[in-house]
Amino acid sequence: MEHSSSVLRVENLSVGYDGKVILRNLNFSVGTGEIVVLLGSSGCGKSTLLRHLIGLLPPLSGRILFGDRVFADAQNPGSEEERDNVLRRIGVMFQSGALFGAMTLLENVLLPIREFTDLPHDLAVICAEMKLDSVGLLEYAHYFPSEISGGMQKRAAIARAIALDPKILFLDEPSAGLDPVTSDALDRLILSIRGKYGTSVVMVSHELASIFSIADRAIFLDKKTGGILDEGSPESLRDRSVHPEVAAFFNRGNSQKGR
Amino acid sequence: MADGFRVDGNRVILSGSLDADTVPGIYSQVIKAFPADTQIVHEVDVSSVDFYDSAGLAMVSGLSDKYRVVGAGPEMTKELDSFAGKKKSAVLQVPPRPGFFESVGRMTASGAAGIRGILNFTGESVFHCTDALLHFGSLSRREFMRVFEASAADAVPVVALISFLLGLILAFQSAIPLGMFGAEIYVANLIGISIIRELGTLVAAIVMAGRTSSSFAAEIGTMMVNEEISALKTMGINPVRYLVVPRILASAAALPMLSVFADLCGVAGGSFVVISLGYSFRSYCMHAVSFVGASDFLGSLFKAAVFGVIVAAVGCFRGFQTGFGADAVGRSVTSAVVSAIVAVAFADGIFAVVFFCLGI
Repeated sequence: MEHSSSVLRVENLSVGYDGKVILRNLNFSVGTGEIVVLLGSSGCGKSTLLRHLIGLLPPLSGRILFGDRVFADAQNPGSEEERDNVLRRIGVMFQSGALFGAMTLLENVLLPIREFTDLPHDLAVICAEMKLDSVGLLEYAHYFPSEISGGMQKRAAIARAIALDPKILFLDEPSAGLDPVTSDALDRLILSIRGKYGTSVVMVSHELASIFSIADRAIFLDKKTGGILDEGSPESLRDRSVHPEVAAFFNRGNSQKGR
Repeated sequence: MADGFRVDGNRVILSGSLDADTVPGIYSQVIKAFPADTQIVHEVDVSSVDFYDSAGLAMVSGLSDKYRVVGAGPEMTKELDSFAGKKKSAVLQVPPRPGFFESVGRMTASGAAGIRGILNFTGESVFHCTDALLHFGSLSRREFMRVFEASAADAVPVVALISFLLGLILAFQSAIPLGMFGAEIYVANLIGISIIRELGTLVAAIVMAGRTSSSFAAEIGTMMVNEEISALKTMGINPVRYLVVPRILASAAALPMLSVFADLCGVAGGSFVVISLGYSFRSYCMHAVSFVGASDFLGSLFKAAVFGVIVAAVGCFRGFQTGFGADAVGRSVTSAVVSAIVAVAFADGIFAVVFFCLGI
């Protein structure tokens, strides 16, 4: 897949918290409409990196750019307003879905539309209904999150994340806790959103099936060196990577499949 | 006239970009130009639109309910038709909401289940507390001391402050009417009997309901949400024995001590007023204790121990009742504090009647 321009660019980024550096000097970019998956063993810093990319943690060094806008810079923190402007252009789905329990699905999706646009109420509702329709939950618009299944909650969380037509979507382990059929449906939904809106996706995942079916590129993070160990399409990493950790990661999946 | 909006007869021609920034202005102008209640069917021409986002699509969809939309490209037509079709055919699921009779039935059943829960919990707590007192060595000393410190020692400053101010205010307010009869020194008697017999214990119990009962409900409630209670059960550990017993016994030991402390601070607060009226500290003390008998003091200590049990048990019980969801723990904590204060007030009323009948 050809990716003309980069939506997200990470330059010399060091990530960590409480004075502890977990990953250092990372450099990578994500193109328009590209789906990139962050891989690595447990505790290697994938989720921490994701938290930096969505602005929940400040970078220890280096910077993060969305398009040509600087989102986070360790040297020059920049204004809150500028940061908020960027945050409106990105969508995030947390592992648990993080839907607001006291609101219906429609109200959950309406929240960012109401907060960040001047759309009149009737149009905002139509907009939210369209988003729920695109994840197949229009019929459940008036349900509360506690009244629907885990897979539906994740789809609703995606609907909320794409409410403002973000250029890039961050997904933290979208398949975690889902059965293979639901997980497959979620993968297809992510692909359809990319197809429809041209959204780039950065996701953390351990699900090999999901990685192979949707990811254009995988970035394998290394716990020992605290950097990027290998990078490329999932197939090329599986077949041609010279690093034993990468081979072990993908071959474990093969042995499982062979059973 | 704004960019992207032009009126031509009974037709509105939209052009340029329809996005979240331009849509609000364009939409309000279209509505203003063509009120929807006229007889003529107006047309909205979107053939000159170069770009639209979700907001733009939502606007065209919204307009298509009131006007005839013409000139939409194949992609927009497909999206609009798909959404309109689904919206029409979508059987909007209504979550099952119970009717009147079902609600009454459910409330009755849950009320009965609540009473059964209270009885079960009370029975289990009494059994395990008695067992722990008989075999004191089996009690987790560390947990007991942790709870004792948190509910007694840590509560000392707030209990001291409230009871001191209570004694001061009580003395000040009663000094005025008693002074009219030249009986200012009897303020000391009033302070002594009311604080030691009643108010000191009550203040300590209410502070404990606010601090300790809420913290028990939050701790156990969070454990419920995290399935830690289920983990205890599957390990064969009785959660009441493990979590409730140390809390009840520690609170029952802590509250009488806090109550004595509250008595001292309350009486000290009253002394400031009486001394400022020109009486000596010694005569204040003599008067303050002259009305108070040993039975008053011991009775208040007994009451405090019972209140300690009630406050801790209510907090733990509400913690175990925690449901699921983000607000579940918050609701448990609120109901723990309210129930504990109500239960303490109720028990105090019963004590007043019983003590009166026994002549204490």
